[in-house]
Amino acid sequence: MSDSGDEAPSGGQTKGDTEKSLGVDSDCKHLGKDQEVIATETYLVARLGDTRYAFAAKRIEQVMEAIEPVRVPAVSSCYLGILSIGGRIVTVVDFAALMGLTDTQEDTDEDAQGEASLRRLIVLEGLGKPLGVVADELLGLQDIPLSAIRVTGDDSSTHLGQVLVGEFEFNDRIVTVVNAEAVVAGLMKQSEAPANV
Amino acid sequence: MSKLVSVVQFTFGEQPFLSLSEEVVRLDLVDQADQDATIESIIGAKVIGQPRTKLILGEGIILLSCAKPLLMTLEDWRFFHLPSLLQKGNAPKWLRGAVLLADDSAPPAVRARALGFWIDLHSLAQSVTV
Repeated sequence: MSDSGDEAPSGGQTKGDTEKSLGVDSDCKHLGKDQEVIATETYLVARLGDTRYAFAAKRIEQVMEAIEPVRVPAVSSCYLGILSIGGRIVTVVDFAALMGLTDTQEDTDEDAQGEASLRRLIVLEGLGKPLGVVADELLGLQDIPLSAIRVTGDDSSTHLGQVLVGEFEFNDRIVTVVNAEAVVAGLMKQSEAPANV
Repeated sequence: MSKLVSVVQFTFGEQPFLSLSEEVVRLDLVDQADQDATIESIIGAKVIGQPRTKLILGEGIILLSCAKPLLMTLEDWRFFHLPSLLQKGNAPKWLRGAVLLADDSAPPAVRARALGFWIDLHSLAQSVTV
């Protein structure tokens, strides 16, 4: 790998290509006397249901204890509600339901209730707009070499393909990389649809 | 934003809603039997509590609330437009935005419950077949 760090991490993609695909602007770490450069990105790994997601730390405004948002009348159940945080109104979404990855459902079983104390609200920033995502558990911040991330968001024609852009292995589990800006961009696009009420 | 306004606060379920008092001509209590489930279906909240109340608008349109309305003034109130992510196609147009009903320095859990929704009663009434 050269000093420029622009060598292809995998599959013939350059570092720049990978960053563009993942929606990040990575840091570079110099290792050893040879000054080899490894491009990395810091991700917050969180568990949402049974799935592990990675959110770029640069796109996270804050993490706080999850509190019940105020439900907004007559909106999709993907929107859990709004919260007043730091003088701003933040929209809180059910991320998995928003992506169509699972049905929205109430946590009624004892296991889910027992995990309530682990829940955290991750406030993401995308396109200058805050977006709250409720995580069932935070698994920590991780510096991930871009070379360890397999770019999966090839199908940029779909919203899902633009949002879930890559994956890597962490603690023997696959973690899916989320492009926060694409999440917000998708919601903005939806909000421009004709009103139905 | 510092502004003094006269509002009617009422609740559906436990969620407070507010509207300009000038939009309401008269408030009447009504019998339990005189209920209008249409509002419930639009607001999407389970209606509990007594008494119910008629909100009579200038155009003679009647809306029902589930709790006794509170005539109040809001001083130094903070009004938030709904986030753009919720506007247009996602939120009903009668929902003007959210109002912070408590001190912003309150603990987060209290702050969350202290958000009321600012309603355009006329717009809401137009979306209801009475």
